[in-house]
Amino acid sequence: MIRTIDEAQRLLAGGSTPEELLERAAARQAELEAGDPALNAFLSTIDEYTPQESGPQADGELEGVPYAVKDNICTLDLPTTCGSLILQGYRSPYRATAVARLEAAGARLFGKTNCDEFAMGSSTENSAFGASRNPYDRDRVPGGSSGGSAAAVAAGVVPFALGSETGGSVRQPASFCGLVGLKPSYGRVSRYGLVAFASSLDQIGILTRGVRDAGRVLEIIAGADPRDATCQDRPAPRASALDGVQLDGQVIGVPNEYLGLGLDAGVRAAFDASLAQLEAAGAQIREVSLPSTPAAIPCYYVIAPAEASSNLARYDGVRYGLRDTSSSGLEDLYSRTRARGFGAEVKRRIMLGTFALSAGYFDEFYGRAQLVRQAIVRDFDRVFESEVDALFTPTTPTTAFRLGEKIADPYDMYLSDVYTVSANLAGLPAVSVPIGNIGSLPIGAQFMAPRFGEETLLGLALRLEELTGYACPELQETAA
Amino acid sequence: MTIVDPHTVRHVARLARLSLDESEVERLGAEMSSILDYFAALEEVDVPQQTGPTPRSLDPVLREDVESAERLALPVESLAPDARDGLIVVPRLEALGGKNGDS
Amino acid sequence: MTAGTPGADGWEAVIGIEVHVQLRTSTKMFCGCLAEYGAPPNTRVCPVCLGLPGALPVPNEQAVRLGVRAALALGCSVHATSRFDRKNYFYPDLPKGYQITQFDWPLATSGSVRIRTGEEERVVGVRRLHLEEDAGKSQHDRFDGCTAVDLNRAGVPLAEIVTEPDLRSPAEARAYLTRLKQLLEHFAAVSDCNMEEGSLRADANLSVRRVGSTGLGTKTEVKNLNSFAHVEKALSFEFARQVAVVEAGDDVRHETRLFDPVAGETRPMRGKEEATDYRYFPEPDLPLLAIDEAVIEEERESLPELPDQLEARFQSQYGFSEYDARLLSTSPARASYFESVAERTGAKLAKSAANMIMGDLAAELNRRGVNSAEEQLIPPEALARIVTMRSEGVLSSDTASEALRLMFGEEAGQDPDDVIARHGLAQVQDDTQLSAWISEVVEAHPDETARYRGGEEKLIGFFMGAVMRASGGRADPRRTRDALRGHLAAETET
Repeated sequence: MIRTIDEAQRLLAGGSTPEELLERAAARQAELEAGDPALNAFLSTIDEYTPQESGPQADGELEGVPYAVKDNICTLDLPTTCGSLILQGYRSPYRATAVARLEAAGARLFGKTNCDEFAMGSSTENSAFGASRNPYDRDRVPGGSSGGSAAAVAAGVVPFALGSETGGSVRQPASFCGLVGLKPSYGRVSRYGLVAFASSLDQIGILTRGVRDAGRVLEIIAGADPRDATCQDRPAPRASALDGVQLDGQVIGVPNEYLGLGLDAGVRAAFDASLAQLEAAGAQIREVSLPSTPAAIPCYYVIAPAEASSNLARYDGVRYGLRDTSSSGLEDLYSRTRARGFGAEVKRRIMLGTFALSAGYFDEFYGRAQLVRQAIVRDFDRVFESEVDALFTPTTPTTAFRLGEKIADPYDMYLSDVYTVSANLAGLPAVSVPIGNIGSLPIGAQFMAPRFGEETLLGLALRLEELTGYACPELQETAA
Repeated sequence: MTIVDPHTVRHVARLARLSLDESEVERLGAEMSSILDYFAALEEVDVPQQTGPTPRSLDPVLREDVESAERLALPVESLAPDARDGLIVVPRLEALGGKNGDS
Repeated sequence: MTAGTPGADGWEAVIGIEVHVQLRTSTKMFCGCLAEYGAPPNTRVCPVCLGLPGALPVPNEQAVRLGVRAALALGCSVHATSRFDRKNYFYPDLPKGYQITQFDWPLATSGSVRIRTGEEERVVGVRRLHLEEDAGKSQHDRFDGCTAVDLNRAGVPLAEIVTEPDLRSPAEARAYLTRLKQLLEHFAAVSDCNMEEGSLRADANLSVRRVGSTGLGTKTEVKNLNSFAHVEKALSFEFARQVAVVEAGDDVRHETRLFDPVAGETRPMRGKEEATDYRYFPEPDLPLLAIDEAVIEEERESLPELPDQLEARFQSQYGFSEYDARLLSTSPARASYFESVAERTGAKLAKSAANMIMGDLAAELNRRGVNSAEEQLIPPEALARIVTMRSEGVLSSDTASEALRLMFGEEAGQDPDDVIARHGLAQVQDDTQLSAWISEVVEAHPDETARYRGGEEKLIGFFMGAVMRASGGRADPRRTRDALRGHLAAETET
């Protein structure tokens, strides 16, 4: 197992080669796949470890450290399928900016992780290549859509992985798998090479065991990119700044709307305990109100599918990817290729999004949701301007649920994003941290901070991590 | 309350270029109707007045008019399911006299 | 009455025009691929314009500037904030399944273009100008049963310019396009407006109504208009067709029709029966397009004086007719050439300078098939000198033309005085020389001389021609006529 970046660097300093670290990751991966059921965290892995030439950046910040990338982020070395049949075997002829920056820092790609198809889902059950499992309980989901990345880091294959967030797809699996899951501010990390689900919400996120590692990776991948017009020109948050953030004097808000909504009693108890620890360490806790919260899920499930319906129009069988060859003409080719290539949830969202944008329904759904989104932004602006430095809430209403438990009821599945979607709608940075467990299952809580407030955000998360002492339970290996 | 009837489902599926069988039409109609029910909550929020384009708090980013160095690692022909003479080939639109695109 | 339309008494056409011009940038609208015409297929493509998974658009600053410039040349208000939107539809040459365009909040609105057909002038409202990306090209006849797609053009920057339905005849539609091309190609210099290469494309919509009525009939859209002449022909056909439909008591169908230039008619487009729903929504990959007031001012200041202003000024400053003023204002190069000549000849000779530019010079340029600015071929100083010598009687209209021809050719770059001297083009003022030519001619034509003296005075023209030939065009015509009359009469008296 390689649990942290420090651990990997200690091995390298002790004489291990980067290739040996990749082999170690492969061995761990093989062990997990041999389990019954298999973890199914990866869709593809590097199987030949050719030593890389030591370039000018041989002393890169992450030289030789293996990592994993969610399969909706473009890499040159392995396929990028987005967990979809429509891109089965697709190899991107270019790589994402975030991946290029990690490679420039010396990190070594080990594999591409499983995810819900086009990142649409909260359990990784919507992958065309089979569900991933939660390493803490293989009957349960690892969360989603970055479930493969969460499972891979939680099980100790790699010390960190990139995921992506549109409505909680990094924080929710982090919470289910006992990890730190960071969603940076919208515009913090380039989306170039992140296969779009909902462009106004998408952001590459980071899954690690500890807060410091998340900060280190963020510092490398953050910052302006001439290839993404929404990526903002701001200095990257410094990992070294986290120690300067003290709890004493911080005002931490708890939005009362987040403490109903199907919140599990065990999760609530763990959350209250963390809150008490924060207060005891000097933070001032204040109850606040975000009155638009009840509309966040509907708002999200109008805007995200609407954008998705357009973003996924390019998978038409013309230029790349799957093509149905039984078609008699082009229209037939489009409809059959897309019917065959997309899974049920993707189709459902394309239908929902197309409907929300269509003539006669646009104002009622898409137009209205845009206004509600502004109301949500306004709620956050108000509390951050006048009341609090950060917000603290549970990440998810429950711990990891069982495979198949929610797949039959789409809206029930959508509700598992209830605490996370608002940060995406408002473009805020948010981070989920492990705060305890119910039985073998981890519990997470999240901080949200003002836009581009990652240094404060991660500083607070680091203090909480110290208070709870890495609160994720020890991994109990299920029978292999 | 918005009921998504089979006619609407077929119309939307046509816009989205998704071929659906009858059971899918029925299932999606029911699912969409029940999801849209939840969307009534959108009406319960006090929303701001809109006079201009929806604001986005993003600084504008433009690029200079210079050729970029970005090159594909693979030519178009190696991506496309069918390419001839450097062109991407698909069956013709039915309205233009399409036929079986296999070749 | 509607000029240039077939017999349709009591009806008028209501026409609006949509023009797409390719903006003159090096690279595409949202990526760094070269925006080149004629490259091998699919070789000017990258992840962005191929619509590959994960690729993102970044707007081209120069395209935005050229859009601003075009808008200012059309008198539009440029908005400090505009927005890109997505227009969703499936077509094989549309790589992303949507086109990035501007819908609700275009770059610029509310402009106008002044046109003239015959004696009528009209101000055509420009409703909007917006930026968008072009699609690729589909060839439907290259491979049997297939469509072949080249995406080199996909993503090339376009400005779409939409008029109000202000045009009232096919001839006005043509006049509008001519004026628009002049403004965009020569004044704003934002596009080469080449219809053959598709860098200017026009679609029109037309409806008919009774003259005097203010309502609007059902319109049809007319596409595949590959030249200004086609626009006029197609609209004339469509006007007559709609009038016939309505007069027969039927309704005009709202539809898109294609012009067939061979048959000279419009026909309904195949396969477009389905109502389209483009599901426009704000492009989430792009921030709002913000344009600094400073950029607008910079572009406004760098625009040359526009044709409307030039025409008005030439009329008031030089007393030109509207017609002359318009001919001199077709491009900033021509206008400024004229002004540098007129500055040297003085205002009194401005009209002669204008005549020479629009007459001899234009004819010579035309004969040589050259398009470049006149200035490069005959410096304004030289032309001014020729105009002056012509006014002083040193050159006749023939020798002035000859001097000009020589200076385009073998005498290019030479001083006009030297050229005129070397080729003996100056009119001869010397009476002795003139008398010698006259005597020579009179002696050579005794019969004509006798007839003239017998009262056939119209033969003076014959003698004039003969003397001019004998002098190689250098005899001053007025002096020659007087001297000839004297010479022939004198003999009668003796």
